[in-house]
Amino acid sequence: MNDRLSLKEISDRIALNVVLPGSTHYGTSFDRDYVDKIQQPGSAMPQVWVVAQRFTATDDGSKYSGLIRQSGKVEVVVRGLFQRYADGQLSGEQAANDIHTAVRQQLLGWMPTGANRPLVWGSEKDGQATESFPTLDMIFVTEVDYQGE
Amino acid sequence: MNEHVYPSAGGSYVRLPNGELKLADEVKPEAAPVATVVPAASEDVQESATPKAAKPKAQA
Repeated sequence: MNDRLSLKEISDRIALNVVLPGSTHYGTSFDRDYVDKIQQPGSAMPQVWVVAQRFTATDDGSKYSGLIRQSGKVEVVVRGLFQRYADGQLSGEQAANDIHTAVRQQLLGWMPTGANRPLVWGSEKDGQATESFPTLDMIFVTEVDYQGE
Repeated sequence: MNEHVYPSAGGSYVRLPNGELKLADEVKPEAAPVATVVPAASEDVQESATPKAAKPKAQA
C-alpha cells in the first residue's frame, strides 16, 4: 500500500452492520456534515464517527535492496458520542457498552483495504467525565507496508 | 484501492429505529424538546381573552 487507509471504508462497514437502539448516526470526521451533526440539536444519537488515523513506522527501511520498502502500524480512532441520559434509558453506561460491543464486533479481525493484517485493539479510553455528551474513543491497529513506486 | 461499500456523496448516514439506513441529508433533525406550560382553562382566563361585546346603547 502507498496510500492512507480509507476512514470512509471503515465507517461504511460500521454503518452497514451496526444496529444500536434509537436513531444512530455514522460517518467520518471528513464528511461535509460532520461539524453540523455533532453540534446540531436534535441530531440522531448515539453517533459513531471514524475520526482519525496515525501512521508510525516500525522500521527505518534500511534493508534497501534496490526497492525501498518500509513497514509501519496504523492506528484508527473510532469515536462514540452518546447521551448521558436518553429518554427511556435506564443506564447511561449501557449506551457506552452497546457502542463498544457493536463496533468491536465489526472491526476486530476485519482487514481494511491496503492493510497487511486484520485490525486488533490498540486501546480504548472514555472521554472526560465532565463532558455533557460522553465520548468513547476506540483505537484499532493494523500493519501496513510502504514501498517505492 | 479504497472502494467504498456504499456511496455517500461525502455525507454521513443515519440508521432509523426501524433499521433503515439513510443518508443524513434525507433525515430531518428531530425537534428539540421544548417545555410548554398550558394554563388551566378557567372562566377568568377565557373571559379575559375574549373581547367583550359592546353593550347596546339605551334608546331615548
